[in-house]
Amino acid sequence: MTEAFTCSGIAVVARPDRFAEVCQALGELSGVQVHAQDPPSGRIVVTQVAPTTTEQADGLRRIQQIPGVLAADLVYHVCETPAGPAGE
Amino acid sequence: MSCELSRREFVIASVAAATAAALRLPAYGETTEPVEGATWEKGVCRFCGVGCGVLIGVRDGRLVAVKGDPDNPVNRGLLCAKGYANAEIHYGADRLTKPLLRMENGRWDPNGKFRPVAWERAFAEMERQFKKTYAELGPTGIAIMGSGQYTIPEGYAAVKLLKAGWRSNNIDPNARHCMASAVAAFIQTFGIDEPAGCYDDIELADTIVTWGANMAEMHPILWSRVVAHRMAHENVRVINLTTYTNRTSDAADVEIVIKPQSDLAIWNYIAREIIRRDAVDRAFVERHCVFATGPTDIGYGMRGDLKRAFEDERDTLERERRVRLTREEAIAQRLDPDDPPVVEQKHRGSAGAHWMITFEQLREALEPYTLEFVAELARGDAEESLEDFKKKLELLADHYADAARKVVSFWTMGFNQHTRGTWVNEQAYMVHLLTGKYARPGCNAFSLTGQPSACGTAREVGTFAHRLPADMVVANPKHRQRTEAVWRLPEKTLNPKVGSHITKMMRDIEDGTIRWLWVQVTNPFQSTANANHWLHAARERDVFIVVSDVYPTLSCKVADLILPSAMHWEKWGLYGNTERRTQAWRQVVDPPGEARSDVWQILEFSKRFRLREVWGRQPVPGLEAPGFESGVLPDVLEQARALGYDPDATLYDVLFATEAARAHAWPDPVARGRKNCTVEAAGLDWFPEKALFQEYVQFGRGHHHDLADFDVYFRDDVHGLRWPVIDGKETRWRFNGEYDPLVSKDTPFEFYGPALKAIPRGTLDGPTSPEKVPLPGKARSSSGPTPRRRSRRTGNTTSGCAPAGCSSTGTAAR
Repeated sequence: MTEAFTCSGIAVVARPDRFAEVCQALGELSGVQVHAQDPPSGRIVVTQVAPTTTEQADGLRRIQQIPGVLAADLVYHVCETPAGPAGE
Repeated sequence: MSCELSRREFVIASVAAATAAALRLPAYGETTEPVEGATWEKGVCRFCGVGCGVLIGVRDGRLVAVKGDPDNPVNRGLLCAKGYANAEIHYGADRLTKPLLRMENGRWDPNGKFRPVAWERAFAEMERQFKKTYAELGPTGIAIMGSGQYTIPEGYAAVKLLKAGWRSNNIDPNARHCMASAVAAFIQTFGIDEPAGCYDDIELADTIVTWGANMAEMHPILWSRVVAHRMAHENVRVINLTTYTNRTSDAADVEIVIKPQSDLAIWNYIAREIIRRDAVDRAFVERHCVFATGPTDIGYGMRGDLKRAFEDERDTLERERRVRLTREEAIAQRLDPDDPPVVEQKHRGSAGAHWMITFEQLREALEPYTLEFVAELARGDAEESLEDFKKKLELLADHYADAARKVVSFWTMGFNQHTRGTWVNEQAYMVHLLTGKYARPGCNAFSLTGQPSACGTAREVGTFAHRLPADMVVANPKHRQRTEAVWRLPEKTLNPKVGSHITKMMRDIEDGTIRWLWVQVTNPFQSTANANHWLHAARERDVFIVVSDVYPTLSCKVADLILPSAMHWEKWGLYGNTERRTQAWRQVVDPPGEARSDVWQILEFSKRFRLREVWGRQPVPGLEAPGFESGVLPDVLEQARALGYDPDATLYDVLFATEAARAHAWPDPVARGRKNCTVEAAGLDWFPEKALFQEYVQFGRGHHHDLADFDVYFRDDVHGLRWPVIDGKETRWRFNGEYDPLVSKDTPFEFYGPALKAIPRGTLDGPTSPEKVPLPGKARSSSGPTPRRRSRRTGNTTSGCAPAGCSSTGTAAR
């Protein structure tokens, strides 16, 4: 059996004075990878992998609670499994 | 396994690239679609009132991906944590897929267990129970509880069946709980519901103030726009007024922690400062506004008597009926602070009875709200020094008073579910109007909604006990006449007596005067205050409760019959968001099992009623209206014949499958091959959702609520349109002649809302003459000034008044 797998792309906005610190904290979260950084606008592109959508939403809240994060929003969410659609 | 891993890596890399591309960040990797073979459909999120554009990915009949719509101006490609659920909400293991009836020994039994039944059996029981109650109690004995999550066609079908077919006004949405105060203030101030401005104001504002709105967590996408605007502009300021430190404070320049309820006093302080500093936009105010106030002894929401009170509620009820003013309230009302009176709440039923006052009287009313007085009253953080708190209040007043700064005030339930929610909404308008900071780009006072179509359906369609579409009301004979004309009903079919609001429906169930209830798109036995009463009533009284839902809820648990409904992307729909933007989506997947759309359920059930069963003489206890016999709705069957209706025709024939409706053929090119579960289940060759919408738009056109045609909202290049839509163009700032074509040519601003546009003159102590003065084109506001519950001053101990508002003209100051 293949494991349940969902992946989301998240736009993070960090306070410019805490940008590096936020990037580092993001990189330390399980399932999260930092892909692109744009310090002038404070924006960071991350992906988050989690078994279920519920865990994705909880994970987003975890990102929002990092000190220095002003906003973290979902951009793209894939909720299929490698073998086919997720679900029951 | 390695194949799976590489698949994962591919998905991660492509999601990252797609995300960067959506944000228009410098090119990053290759933008390959992460989901192979999916087709995409545009639509709108259903999880709050912001109205974010969503692109939903479907493959093999299943929702497999969600993305923010980068072309939608509301959210520009972003979604919040709730957006994740757009697909998964459809696939919970406990989805309802069959009608469930409480049965024992093969028959309905209120104490039986839920058993799956066929739709035919479900509707037959529902019909039998309806007809039994209708025969005994008439139109007041039955009710529908509706929703701010109704799609526009659903709400419109429900209201038409109930008001035109069953001749009842007992329909009311859950939106009453959250938005009643916002609506009352819009109608009182502007004579029309919904805000003047729109989300564009965020990027045009110099100062954004949140009042009882934790936007960072509750409206994250709008908050992201606020944050981006703040970060891009050195001069922009964000101020968060809150009763506790929350995530909104993180990005705010100033956090002002206040005591609960003290916001009323703060608004009065700001208004006082504006007048004291001579910062009033006099040209605007004099031309476009009047000041008004109203009674302060308006009571609270609980029942007026003790007959159903639980023992431990009696003291609360007594305190609601006879209020001992606090020392601060006495000061605010200019009474003796050392001997605050007990005030009998005599205007419980007439809180909106406003009258006009002069600018001088407003100034007098605001006089007690000095910085010292308000700071003592409002400081919410005991650790903060009074001097520091005062500085913050002064700074807040500076932002509102500074003619060079454009200000947006946002609020949510911190205001709207306040014990004086209408007053505090009105006060916000008062301050914005005094300074001319309303209905201008970058200037707005904005109530944020919690449900996706509380505005577009509940309020605009009018799924309320007192309303008809497009802000009309059942008590107004002209409004009934107009509605009867659009619906092709005999004269006096519509019931002029306002029905039970959602809380009163619960009380009526408790009292045994409502005995048949249909709950649609809401979970009222979970969400209505004092639920302990209603849960008991639902199970113990003689009442048949039908709940249409997608999952088992607490309301399902107390139901007699549960009907399985289609979820969001399993049906066609349109929603209207907080900024007057109407958006649409197509059905992209099938509902599971025997779940059916709410539109299908309403239409199908309407087939079970013949005109002669409902359009004969009907008792309506308490009905008193010109042209109507006391307590009775007339028999309209003769007139119905004259209109060409057979008394044996069904409500389905007369209300829904009309010739005009059937002209909207299915299949329809707008569907682009997508399915329609309503059409399929009913075996139709016409398109009910489109027919309902096209009929509905007739109400608003030419009456300040103009919408575009159904098909327009589905165009690829349309991401919703903000009404009024005139000549195909949306309106961003209503009442402002530069932007709103409905404003008369000879005036820069016109508050043209027609409701409540005449009030008597008076003083701070009450109206001085019963004669009403017409106020065409003017805004007015009345606010409840005082600390907690009462507004200001009283000449005697039984009536006081609240300060009032004004309006503005657009010129000089900026």
